[in-house]
This record gives sequence, structure tokens and C-alpha cells, in this order.
Amino acid sequence: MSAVAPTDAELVHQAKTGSRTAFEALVRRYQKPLYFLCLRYVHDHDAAADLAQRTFIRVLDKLPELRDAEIFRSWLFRIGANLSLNHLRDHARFVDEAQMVPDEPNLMPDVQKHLETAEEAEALRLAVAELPTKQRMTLELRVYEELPFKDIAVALETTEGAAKVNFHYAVKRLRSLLGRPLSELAGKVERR
Amino acid sequence: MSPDVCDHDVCEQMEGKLIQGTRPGDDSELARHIGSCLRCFRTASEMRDVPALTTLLRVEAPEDPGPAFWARFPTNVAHAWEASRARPSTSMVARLRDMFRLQLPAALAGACVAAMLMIVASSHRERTKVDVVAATRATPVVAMAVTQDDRPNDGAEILLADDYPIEAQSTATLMQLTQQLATEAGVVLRTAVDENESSLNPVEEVELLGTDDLRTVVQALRGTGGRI
Repeated sequence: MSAVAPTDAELVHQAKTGSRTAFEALVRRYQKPLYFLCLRYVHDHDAAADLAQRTFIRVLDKLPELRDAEIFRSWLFRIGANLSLNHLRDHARFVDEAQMVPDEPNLMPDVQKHLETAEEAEALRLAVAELPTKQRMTLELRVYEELPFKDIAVALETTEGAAKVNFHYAVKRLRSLLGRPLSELAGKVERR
Repeated sequence: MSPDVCDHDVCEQMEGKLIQGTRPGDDSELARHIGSCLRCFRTASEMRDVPALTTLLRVEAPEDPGPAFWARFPTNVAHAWEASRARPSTSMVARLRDMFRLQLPAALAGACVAAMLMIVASSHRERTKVDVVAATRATPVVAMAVTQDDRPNDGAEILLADDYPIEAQSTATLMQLTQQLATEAGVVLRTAVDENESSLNPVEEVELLGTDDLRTVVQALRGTGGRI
């Protein structure tokens, strides 16, 4: 018989009263998803680790202001996403142009096929990065974190209806950017 | 199949279901609506791509930093948080907040002290007025001196007030007053200034003025009924 893990709300209440153990439990629970959320924005391990750390520090500082402990996860992701976007904005002019050079095309067929698939996945990720901020955040919170629209609305400080509309627009826009239905790309990837 | 004949609220409700991930095959009402509404049919078609989208985006998960990184991470957060608390805040808002946090109680304390001083000064002034009345009944010289204390900012100097040093100007005034009183009373002061001492400054002159002279003036004044 295993002990039931405390809920986010319970840990948040304990952390608010100064329990370091409770906050550490929250860090351990969300460090991975938060790190990967930041990594999807910045594509750099060190920057993502730093952003995740800064997010938890911000959360700890602002914890007394969090009225509804139930929304902790959405609130955490919102802070992480905002910090990541700020980071991107601040470092936009330092993007290395060498990253934009295409790979050498003269390769073996299997490798070429693998690369095509990888490129298509990469093309999709680039298309996601091109989405308007709210649409991108909605899409990523839905796809990667599997948040319900109600929690996405909390994370993005919007309504549930607006979150659904943003998601719908994001999907339509990706279809438009890639020029074909996404199911075709997914089929190629699954056959790899 | 026309969007024009659809109830807008019904379409929103059905689109909400589709975006949420409900499949038309699992919801008969939704399937019926899609069959009659072009707009919702298109939405259903677009939403069919969502599982593919999810697969594609998750296909190449980024490299995990490893268990050592995750084990160390909470400690790093704790250290970084302690370091951030140790650093003084430099933002303008934080500085303003800090300033008010420290200055406001100080200002309140200052205001309390000022109020207490005003009360003390006010009661002292009341007492001084009583002293003036009493002194007027006693001797005119003292009365003048005390009355001078009661007239701020009119250029008059304090003559005999204990709390203030005797300045050169007030000393000269004292000399003049004494000599004037002596003249009116017909008394020759023992330490009357002669030609050799004319270079003395008023402070030195007062130092030379003996208590006998003052006593003589007071006695003379009492003899004349205390009127100047």
C-alpha cells in the first residue's frame, strides 16, 4: 500500500507557510516539463536550465500572491513561457547565422529519407515557432503538457472559449504553412 | 449543408466539442450537425489533423540532461533563490518600495516628535505669558526683558534670557538701556565709559559694568515709582 502523493494545492499551501520541503517537492514534480517547455523555445540546454531555475525562483517569490492553489501548474507554465519569450526577444539579434546553412545533399538514400522525415518534423517545429505567441503557447500547452483548455485559459489569462479558438487557428495556420494536411507528414514519420 | 441556416450558438458548441477532441463517431448529435453544417464540417476536418500534429511534434523528443542534472536541480534552485535574496534589489519600483518601507515609519516618528515639541513649546509660551504679567508687577526692567522675549521677529533682542548667549548687539542695547535709566534717575555710573575705554567693544563694556551699577539704577527707579 503506497502513500498518496500530496496534491499541488496541498504542497502550495505548505510552501506558503514556509515549508521548504513542500516547495522542493513541487520543483521535483515540475522540473522536467518546465525545462522542456523552456527548451522548446530557446533550443539550448544551458539557457533552458537557467530559465527553468529563474521560473522557480520567480514562483517562490510570488507564491504568497497566488490565491488559487489549484492553478499552480498553469501559473508555473505561464511564468516559464513568458520568461522564455522575454529571453528570445532579448537575444533575437544574437542568432547565429551559421545555423541556417543547409546540410550537404549528397547522401545515401536511407539516410536521405531519414533526413527528409527529420526535416519535415523540423519544418513543423519551425512553423510552430512562426505562430502568433498566444496560438503557439496554446498549442504547446495542449500538445506537450496535455493541459485541458480550462487550465490553458488560466495559464494564458484568457477564457476557455478563446483558448479553443486559438488552438483551432493554430492548427489551421500550420496546415497552411506546411501546404498539406498534417496527417500525410505523420504517416511518413510513423513508417520510419 | 449551409452555415447560414445554422444556429450560431449551436455551431460554437459543436466546434468546442471538436476542438476538445470529441470524435463525431462518439457523439451522435455532433455527427448530425456536421452533416448539415459546412463550417463545422471544415472544423472537424481540420481537427482530424491534431493527433498527427501531436505525433510529429513529439517524434524527436529533446535529449534529457540525465538523472544527475535532475537530482541537482532543486538544490541549484534553492541556492539561486538564497543568492537572489541576498542581493539588494536595484529596480526603481523596488527602491521606491524599500524607501517607503523605511521612511514611512521614520516620518511618522518624526511627526510624533514634532507634535510633542509643539505641545511643549505651546505650554512654555503660556507659562511665559504668566511670567510676563508677574514680572510687570515686580520691576519694569525685568518686565521689558521678558516682554522682549515675547515679541519674535520684530528685531528686538533678548536681553536677559538665560537660554541665549549675550551677543554683541544685545549687549550694546543693555549698555544703552542702563545708561539711559541712570541718566533719567540722575545717577552717575561707577563704570561709566570714559575716553580711554571708548575703544572697548560692547562685550567688554558689559564685563566692566558692575553689579553695583545695576543695583544703583534699580534703587533709583524704585525711588521714582518704577516709571521710565
